[in-house]
Amino acid sequence: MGRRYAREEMTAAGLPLASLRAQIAGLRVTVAVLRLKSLTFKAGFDPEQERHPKGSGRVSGRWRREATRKPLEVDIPGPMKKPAADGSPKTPPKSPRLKLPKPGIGHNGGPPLEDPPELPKRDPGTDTARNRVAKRWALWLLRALGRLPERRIALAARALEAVGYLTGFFDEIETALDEPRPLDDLRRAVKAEADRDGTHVHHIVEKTPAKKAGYPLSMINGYDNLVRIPQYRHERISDWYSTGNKRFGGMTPRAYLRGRSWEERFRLGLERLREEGLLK
Amino acid sequence: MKLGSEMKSMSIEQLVAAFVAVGLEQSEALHDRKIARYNRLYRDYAAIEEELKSREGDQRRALRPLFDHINAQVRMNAAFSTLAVLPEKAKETLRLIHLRREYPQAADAIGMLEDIEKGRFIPDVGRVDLQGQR
Repeated sequence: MGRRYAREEMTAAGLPLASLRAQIAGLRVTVAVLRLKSLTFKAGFDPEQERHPKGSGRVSGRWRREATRKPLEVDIPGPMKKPAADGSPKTPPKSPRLKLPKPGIGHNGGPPLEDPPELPKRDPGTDTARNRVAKRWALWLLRALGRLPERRIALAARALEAVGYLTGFFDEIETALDEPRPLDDLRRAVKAEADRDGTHVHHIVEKTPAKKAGYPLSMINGYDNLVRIPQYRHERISDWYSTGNKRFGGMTPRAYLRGRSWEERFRLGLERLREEGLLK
Repeated sequence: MKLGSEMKSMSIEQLVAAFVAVGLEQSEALHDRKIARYNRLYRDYAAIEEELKSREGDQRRALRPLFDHINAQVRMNAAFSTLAVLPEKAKETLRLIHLRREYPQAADAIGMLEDIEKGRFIPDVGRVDLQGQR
């Protein structure tokens, strides 16, 4: 036994440090995924379970029973509902699903990906607390999409669905993962995507400081100054304006901009959208 | 974390440990949108950096191991504080934070790199257009 340990230690000592670190990082992610898996199993989710294909009527997309493999067979009875007045069958309410983009090619250099944030099994009880969980997960997913395989991302999504209490924040999570878009696109979205939940209208030149500086509302709320961006990223930009920053000699960007021209405020506002990965 | 005159009596290792603790707390404050707390922590961060710089031989180099820290805020702080003494490694760390999409830090990491590239920020001098104004 002792000899075996000694041999293992020697093998480990013979490996380059980077290789050992990579192995440890892999194990950490595996442990984190297993933790998530236990949550999804508890709720009866299995991402591998077959579903009814599109076009199967009202059971389209729903889980199929394990034993039945015949296509288009209605093996999960739908709710017993009367047909609508016009005779067409009613579509059963969709179960809330978190739709995440496919993982892209990321960057594997540097330290390992941080473990997923905590996902309390019990509802934290308030919207503020739920929002905090959802926001942490959104940022983690943003990082993980470039580093983890699709099946692990899918597992994380199923875990978020399984806890139930985050359903009301799926729009915020999904939009936080938006890819950058051209400026005109973001401007048009102010009206065109007015009903897109999980987004906010953002002023490129900050509204309140511009008002205080005496700029007219026609400029502040003008077409050129408004864009629609994901809510969580919008909150982050607002926070950034009021936090001390080494780039501005320790001042907040808001203090740095005080007394500066509209053009300079606009330039910094655009730069920030680009830095936040929202503007192409 | 309250840091004051006791920093003068702290060892380099203790200062580095305090630097990490401040970064981790900043990270939490950002997540929870506790802006006033973040700003207090920013002042602690700047004070520790200044203390390390003042030690014989400029001990900001002692932050080098933090380039591999798992937390992006700690890594970014370490990179910002060593831009003058370990410029290449510090810039590489910032580039990596951006490439790995470690938001919210990724945004400031790329912003700082662009400021340096465009000559708007000079390490150990600061923001060029603020010189003489403060």
